[in-house]
Amino acid sequence: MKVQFSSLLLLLGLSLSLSSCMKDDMEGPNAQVYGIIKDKVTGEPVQTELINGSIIQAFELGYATPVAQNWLIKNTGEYRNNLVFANKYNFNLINGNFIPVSITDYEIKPGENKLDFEVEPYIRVKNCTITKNSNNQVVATFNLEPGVAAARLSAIRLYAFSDVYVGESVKFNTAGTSFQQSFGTPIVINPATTYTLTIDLNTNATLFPAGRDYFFRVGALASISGYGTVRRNYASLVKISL
Amino acid sequence: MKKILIYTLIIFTGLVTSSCKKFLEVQPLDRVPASQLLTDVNGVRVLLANLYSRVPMEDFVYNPGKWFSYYRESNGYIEPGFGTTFYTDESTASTGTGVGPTNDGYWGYDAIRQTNLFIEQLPQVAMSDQQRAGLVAEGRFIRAYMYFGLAKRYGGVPLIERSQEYIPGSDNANLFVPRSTEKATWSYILSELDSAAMALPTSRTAVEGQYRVTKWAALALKSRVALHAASVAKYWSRAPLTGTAVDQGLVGGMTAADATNFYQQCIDASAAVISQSGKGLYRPTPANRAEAAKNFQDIFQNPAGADVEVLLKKGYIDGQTTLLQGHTVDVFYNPSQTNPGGLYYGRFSPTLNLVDLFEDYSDNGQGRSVPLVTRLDGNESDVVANPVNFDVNKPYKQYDNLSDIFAGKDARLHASIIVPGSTWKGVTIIMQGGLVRQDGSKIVYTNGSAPGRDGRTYFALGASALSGLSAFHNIGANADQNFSCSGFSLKKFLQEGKNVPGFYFSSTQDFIDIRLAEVFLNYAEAVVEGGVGDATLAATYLNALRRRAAHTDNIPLSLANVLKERRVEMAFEGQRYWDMIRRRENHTMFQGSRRQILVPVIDLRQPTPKYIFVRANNFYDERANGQNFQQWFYYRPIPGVSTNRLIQNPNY
Repeated sequence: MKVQFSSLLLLLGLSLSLSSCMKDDMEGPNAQVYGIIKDKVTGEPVQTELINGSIIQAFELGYATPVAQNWLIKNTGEYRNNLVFANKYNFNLINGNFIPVSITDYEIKPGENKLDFEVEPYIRVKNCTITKNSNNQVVATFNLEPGVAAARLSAIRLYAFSDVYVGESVKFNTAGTSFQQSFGTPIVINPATTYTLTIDLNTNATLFPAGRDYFFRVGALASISGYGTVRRNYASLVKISL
Repeated sequence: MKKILIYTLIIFTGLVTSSCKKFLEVQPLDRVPASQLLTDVNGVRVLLANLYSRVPMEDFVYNPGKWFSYYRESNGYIEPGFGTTFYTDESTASTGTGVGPTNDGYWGYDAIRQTNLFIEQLPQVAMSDQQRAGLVAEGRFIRAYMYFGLAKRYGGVPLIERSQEYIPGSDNANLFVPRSTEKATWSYILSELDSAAMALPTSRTAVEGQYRVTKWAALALKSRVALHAASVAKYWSRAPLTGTAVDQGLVGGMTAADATNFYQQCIDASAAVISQSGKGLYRPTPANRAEAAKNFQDIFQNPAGADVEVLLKKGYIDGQTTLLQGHTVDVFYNPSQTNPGGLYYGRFSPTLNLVDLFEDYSDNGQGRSVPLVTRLDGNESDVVANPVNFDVNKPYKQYDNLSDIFAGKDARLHASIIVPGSTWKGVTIIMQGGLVRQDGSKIVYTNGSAPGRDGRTYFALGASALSGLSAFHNIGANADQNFSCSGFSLKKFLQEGKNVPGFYFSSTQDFIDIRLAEVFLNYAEAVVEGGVGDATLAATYLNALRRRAAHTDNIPLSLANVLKERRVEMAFEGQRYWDMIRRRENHTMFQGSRRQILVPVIDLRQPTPKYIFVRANNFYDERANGQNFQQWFYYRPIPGVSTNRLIQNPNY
């Protein structure tokens, strides 16, 4: 017994001394990048949506084949990535809700980096007000402005949801006919036109139980060719307590 | 103790001081080297059989969320599902499914390499030149099918026509073949199929193997591929993308002239198959609707008998006796009442969207779909989000029997789908979702009971015991979901006359990959979309399919008619998903959309109970807040771009 125990110890000792597990000695991410997707003309953030909205494709240079990292953008048009390696990067902002933008050889330094992307949104939603009226309807009125001359309008909708991520991908399936409008043949955007969209709360009573906060946002889908996938442009979020 | 120490020391010293022999270069003993296998024709056939098994055919054992030849997870679990049909608006799994995109990770370059090796080794095998040419053509067909599997998922891909060799010590730049353009990829597949067709035999004897491809299979596949390529060329701009892959033409980048060229190739290949192959429709002129339905059902439950129509099919042997063989459609998809046992059954739920598409026989030569009549006011667009909330006072049409609402509908509906109240395997299949009490209150989606005015007791789901019903039980629950969630069940492919044991992989009926009806429809679509070919012939083909379904009128050739005919004729056969992809219709159809179902409800307010039918959203689509398909889903992400140096598709 004693012998067996000793031999086990010996084997254990041998296997331990021969094992080669080591922590790698690589540094972790040492930089943070944040900023906004900024409208070139108005300087305001370009609203989008978190799920299936515009994204930033970042390519860290120095590899044989850089692979895209997809950085998401918040609904408000802000973004932040706290786990970035300081290095040179290319950025591609394509297939979004603004004219595609590319930045090459941008150097990200260790620590905080502020990087705003100046873009031309396809559509600006202006003068947007969303209120609840006395007929128990939520009414949005707004104007639209083309961000680029070639942009046409193919659809508008008043989105509603129970949290701040409201948009095309996160929305109540509201019933009715006046909460959205779509144009089979995209129309010219006239800044003078005032649009009104309405969600009737009586028709949608099951979606809007009383005593809660609800979030509303107006979205407009442009039609423009030559820039790939076009995503919706949005106005700012409005919270209404029902 | 000392002894052990010494032994250990000796072993240890032996280990660390052993000299380097070339032990890594020994031939493995568990596999046969190519040089040995390919010394005679029988070895070649073994290798060929393996290559056939690697063809990305979307058959009964293809699971688009998993992989091809999907048999079992490593933990023994098996997910019910075959083909892409659950990813479309024609059906859903009874447990709910999204709408795609496919996520099978198909990247068949290992099999393409095997095929290349096969083709390259053939000259060393002793056989006649004709035999060799035929085998090379077979290899090229298989390889073209693999590239088709790649092209429809990724667009342009690297075209590797010869086996690659790793050269130690070099930079091996030869291994990194860049992607070809999407146009070049499609053209390559089409020309390969042409070459294969030239050397393939026009028929196969039983000795050769009846499942092996013929010239007509190659041309029929070409018809399918050309139509796919043409549609992408024509409709790419419906879902445009930007990015490096687009700039280089690796995806998209095709012109109207390319579309016309591909449509023309589709016409030529289809015309050759139709006029020269000797194939025809199975029983093209039935005497009546019942006979038409029976004939159509027989094509799929016994493909061997319908050989006259079949151009390419896959066979199975019983998976209970041979591991990783057979398939499970009869087990997974029989309605609950006729399930053969096993854990899963009743898992296939065709949608109301599809059922509504079928014509009836009262049409006027226009071929319009005739939606089911559920209402007296004609408002068939009233679809309730959740049938639990439906309004019993709306003007629902009342029917005496569960199945009356389907009377007079296209024979193919009754041959493809089990409808409520119909007879299947001698059993009346009860699919009912609710009950209206005498006082107008209701029970929906749970099996309560209530007395009728006739004094009898009625059940919301149609029967008191689970063994007597096939739909809407346990909807939304996490267990025992072996009941249709749509009010319909699958009939196509299932064997009515034969009972299989309730074990996995005990079904062996063939899977028909290409049949003549598809070639007819390809031809017709190429004519209306491409403006090429013979419009009179196209109308003849379209109406031949309807005649086979006991229609006696002729409808005009139009895009709407061709697409509708394709959906009803080819339902569940794996066409719909790729039709939506190639025509770029998926992202507009699925924008928070819900697939629809039919909830039959028994109305006890009447002196004798009547049935009413409620149009509703599919429970699972409603719970998921609708189904979405994004514009960039049309191209899947290229796997492994950090090592294979390929340019990634947009948005990945």
